[in-house]
Amino acid sequence: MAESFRVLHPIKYYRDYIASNVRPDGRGLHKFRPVLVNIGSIQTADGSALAKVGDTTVICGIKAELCTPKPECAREGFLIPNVELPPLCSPKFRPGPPSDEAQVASQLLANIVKNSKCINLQELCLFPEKLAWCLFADIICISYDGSLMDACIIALMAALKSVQLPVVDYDPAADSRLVNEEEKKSLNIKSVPICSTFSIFDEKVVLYDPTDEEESLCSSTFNIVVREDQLSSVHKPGGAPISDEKLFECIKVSKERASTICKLIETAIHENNT
Amino acid sequence: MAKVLTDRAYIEMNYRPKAGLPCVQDRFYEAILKNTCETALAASLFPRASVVITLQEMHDNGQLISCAINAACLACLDSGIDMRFMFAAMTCFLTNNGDLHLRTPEVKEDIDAIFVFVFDSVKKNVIVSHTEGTFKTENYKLALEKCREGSETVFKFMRKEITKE
Repeated sequence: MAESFRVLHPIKYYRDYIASNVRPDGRGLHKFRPVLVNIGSIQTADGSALAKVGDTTVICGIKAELCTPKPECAREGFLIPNVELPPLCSPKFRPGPPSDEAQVASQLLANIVKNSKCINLQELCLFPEKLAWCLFADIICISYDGSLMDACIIALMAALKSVQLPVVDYDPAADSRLVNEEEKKSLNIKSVPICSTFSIFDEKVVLYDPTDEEESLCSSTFNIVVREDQLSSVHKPGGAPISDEKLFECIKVSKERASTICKLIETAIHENNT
Repeated sequence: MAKVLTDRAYIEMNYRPKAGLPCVQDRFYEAILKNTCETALAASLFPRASVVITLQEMHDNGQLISCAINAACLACLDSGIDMRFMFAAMTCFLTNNGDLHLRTPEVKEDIDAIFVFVFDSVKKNVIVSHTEGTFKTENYKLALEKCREGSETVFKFMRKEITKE
């Protein structure tokens, strides 16, 4: 009975739950789902991590390739994040070229990486104008259940922290390169941005860390990215308007959550190394 | 036919760059524009209909996204489709000496962060918030206030333009 009511009148079903300050999955309105991080899940990648936020699961693999820097930024390497939402992760995605949602997620991720300056691209350059590292960060969603960005950022940052790049000897005169696979070094990650997702239900109730069902019923979803004690992005792409006090309340909560998740990534990296 | 929605109008947004085909960055802007128009237009009054909004970039001298949003609002007003509220976008720049400016600074290197806000005309609440760069919460708060004040001029301008004829 309850299940058919949920399918036929989803909004009414949610309204009844939210009126008593609880969500259908048993969480309170202001509760986040548990987060899980696993480092080094893919052996063939130069760095990899798996992140789970509730039932949302993403895996990130980083492949490093040698390339020539762009003429306009001759002293910089590349970090190219790409989010894939294959049909296996949710019935709402179809096979074929990347959906709009996947493209928007990739762009948002690239913006966050750029804004938070978590990695200095100049350190990826081996010789100006000649040789640089290009890091392809492929993020594949295995199970989609809302708050995609949270999981993507955690997986990307954990994977970047686990990257081991071989030392390259480059001779500019002879244009010869010698890759020393024996000797490897990690990347210098300056800071770890952490994203938190929120949804606005019925234009007034803010739900933290929404599931896929909640996201589709809510009139607006927004992300807050925190780097240390600073903000590196407050991204609200339209949807229902939000009052200032609720917005700043969410910013405060994201800051608290960011420090816990940073610690989680640190612990995962530490345990992987020992 | 696949795009027909039974409970409201389908809103299609096409954002076209100055030259070439739309890239991923343009899709990102397109998503913001689409979501804003979806909230502002009273789409539930026109089930099974479709509204196509096409924006063509003509010239970018900074604040492109704000300009595109304001153009979309004026075009919606001009079309006569019922709207729940008007919306206006403002861009604010945080320079490295800690000042906030509503005008695009001449030197790009001086910019620490860029804030783009869209407000509704009724309660002046935030519909869109888009930021670039890293900043403190206080700066965000100040930029929000400054943009809200600035949006008044945009709303006034829109009212003046639309009631002119």
